[in-house]
Amino acid sequence: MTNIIHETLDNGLNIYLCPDDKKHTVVVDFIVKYGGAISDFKSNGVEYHLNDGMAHLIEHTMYEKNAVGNNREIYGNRYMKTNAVTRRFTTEYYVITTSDVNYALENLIKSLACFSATKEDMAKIKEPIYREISMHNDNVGRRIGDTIYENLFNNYSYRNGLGQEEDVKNFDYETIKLCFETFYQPQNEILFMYGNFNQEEVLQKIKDIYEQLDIKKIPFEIISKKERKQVKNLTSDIVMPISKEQVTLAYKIDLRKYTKEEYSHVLSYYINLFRLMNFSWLSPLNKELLEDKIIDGDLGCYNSYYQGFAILEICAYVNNGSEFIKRVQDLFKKGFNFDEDCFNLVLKQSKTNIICMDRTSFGYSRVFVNNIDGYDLPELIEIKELDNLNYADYKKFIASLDFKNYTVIKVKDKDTK
Amino acid sequence: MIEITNKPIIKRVDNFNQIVIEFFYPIEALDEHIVKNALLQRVILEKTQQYPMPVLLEKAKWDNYVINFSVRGFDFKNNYGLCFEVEIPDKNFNYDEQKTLDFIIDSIYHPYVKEGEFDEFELTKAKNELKLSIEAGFKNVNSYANIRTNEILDDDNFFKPLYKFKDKIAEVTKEELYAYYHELIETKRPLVLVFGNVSEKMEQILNNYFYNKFESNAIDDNYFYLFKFYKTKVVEEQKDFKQSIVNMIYKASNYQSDDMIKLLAIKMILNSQVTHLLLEELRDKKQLVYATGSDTRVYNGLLLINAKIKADKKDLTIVTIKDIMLKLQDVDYVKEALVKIVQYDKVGLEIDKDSLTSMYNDFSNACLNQFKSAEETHKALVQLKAEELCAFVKDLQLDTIYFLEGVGND
Repeated sequence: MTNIIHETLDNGLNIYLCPDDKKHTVVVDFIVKYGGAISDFKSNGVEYHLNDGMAHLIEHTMYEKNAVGNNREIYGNRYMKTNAVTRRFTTEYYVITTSDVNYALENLIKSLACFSATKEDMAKIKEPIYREISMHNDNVGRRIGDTIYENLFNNYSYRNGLGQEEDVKNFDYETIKLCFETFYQPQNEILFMYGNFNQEEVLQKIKDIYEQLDIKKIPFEIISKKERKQVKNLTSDIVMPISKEQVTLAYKIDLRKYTKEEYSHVLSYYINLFRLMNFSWLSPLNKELLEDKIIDGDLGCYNSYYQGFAILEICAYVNNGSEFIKRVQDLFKKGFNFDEDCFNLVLKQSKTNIICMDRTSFGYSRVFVNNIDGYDLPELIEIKELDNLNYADYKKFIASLDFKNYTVIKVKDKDTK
Repeated sequence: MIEITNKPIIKRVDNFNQIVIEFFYPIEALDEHIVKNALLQRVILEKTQQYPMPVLLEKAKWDNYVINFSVRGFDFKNNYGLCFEVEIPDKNFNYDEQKTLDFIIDSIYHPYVKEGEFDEFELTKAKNELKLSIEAGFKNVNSYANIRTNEILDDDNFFKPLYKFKDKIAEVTKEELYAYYHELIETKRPLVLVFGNVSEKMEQILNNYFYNKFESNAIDDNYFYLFKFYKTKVVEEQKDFKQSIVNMIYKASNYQSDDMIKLLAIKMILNSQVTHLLLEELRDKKQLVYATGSDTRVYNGLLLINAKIKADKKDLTIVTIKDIMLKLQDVDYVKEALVKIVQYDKVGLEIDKDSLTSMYNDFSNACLNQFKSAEETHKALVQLKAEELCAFVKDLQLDTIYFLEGVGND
């Protein structure tokens, strides 16, 4: 298993290093704990409530016009690969390299230490984002995702990380800079590295770089909100180009009595198995709906986690939307499909995957970033977590869940009668 | 022609924990095979004689330590067919290789068939899914733009996209699908490629399965088809999408296999992080796009450039792309760009060493004579002269300008 070395610098930066001398590459991943879903906060004692899109706008700004230059050129000139991604609770900037790790480290840290874009720069930076928003709005899955957040949550305004064009247009320079200075502080940042490097040298280099920097400390806090377990909207219709009517049922399942760690290590596994056995292409429900010609194509089902709630999505292309909704609801009343044999085999498969999965350095960094963004847990997947799982607990946990709160989203083409 | 021998082609490497095995079943590329191939791909691994329900087959995969077992269709110009992809643990993992391989082979050779027919339920489901996926292609902005662009550039009706055969889907019977399966899978020898830390035992097991048991077989590796250039075609249309897209296609004249490296080099100069010509001109300088890219069809001598834009920026986008193509005729610029992409490609070779997918694809491409290996491609790139590349670009003919204007709103 991969060993993670952790160190916290005096300035609060958390460093996680995974040296692996079998790899030909190194990934340097700089993670800021500020993502698209963080829009209500206090900075220096003043409250701010923003619309979606600010963290993503700052990501573009820091990638294209940072204190060192444009990331594509900074790292491209050294034949390194780079990109940046805004997620719900984090923004990451990464570099993949086969040599000169110090160059990548130095530029990554220095480029994110201060805000150097001008007001004129911002107008140029915003324009491509409007095109990105159009791409998002042409995507059926993403539109459904936005509507799920909108319908399920009463007090959280997050829909997606990009925001809408008007919101991005209206973000003024001072607020953008304030958000940067509030969240891009070492105590709110993580440096993760995986691959072929010398950990002592790298640690020393990071410390040396920060000695040259003077980053001001600004007190801030994320404003937490009360959220009812009931949903905000029971139904929504989306009209956009689609080949056949699609219906999604999204359930809001209250798991706030559990910790994020419990969810990540145990409960997410149980919910995954539960949806696989009850609402996937393997389930008896899928066969029944197809045989009765209520749906076309297999059921889709997904689960995610947000603000202490699990979100379970069940969707299908429907011939008879109301019957589809009824049959899914009936399953919640009739009782679920449990299968101990299946539970044990999926466990066996998960262990095989962990042992055999050939991940690249970048692949490992994906796992790490997902765990930070999803659960604020600085972890890679480990097999010991699977030993905490057992079938009796699984059944008990699923039986304890409340599936009363859900929304129905229908996507139709404008030509659909 | 690639003659398929009696034995699997094995490449042993010991730096990955998984073994990749692919079974290629080729058949002559006839129109009557197109729909059947697509349907068989959807039906064959749903259930088997031994595991007559999807959940039972899935459980058997998990129980046999199968990490991935899936099937995809292929279209190699003169051959269609199916390829079964398998990922299983390497020889250091403690498992019964014979049992796992028996399961794989049994699943391929004993699908769920009763009295010479596939299952009605699975076939109906496959037909519905296929129709849905074809219709979905017309409702997605990117695939719609690609469909239309292909139609416009293809003056000779060379492409055989599935949607043109949509009406044939309903006609395929359970018996006809089984007859196709019999011809494709049961009769002739597959090409078997194996990559990873493979034990002697596994090699022996695979040899035993295929040695002298099937009719000889071959893959036609004449992958080239060159489109004629008649005149530049400009097509504009409006659709209910929010984005607008410009697609431009250039055709190479007198194109030969030695020119493949030139198309690849152009694509790298346009797209790569070290030269990023498209992003630099269309996004950084003029803020026209968020996403732009180029692609090549190296067997057809085609260069494709796309830009996702705001509708009112169409003319400026087209002019900018034409200017970019002019820049690719500037020997000084191209000389400098070639130095950068050669070095970038070299680093890419090093990065790929960590990736099982990249290393396997390189092996598979070489076996199918599809591309040179990554190392050979790199050597060809090193030898490419700026003057040659500029002359090649100069001879490219702008065949198609397609503009899809998104007029959708909320």
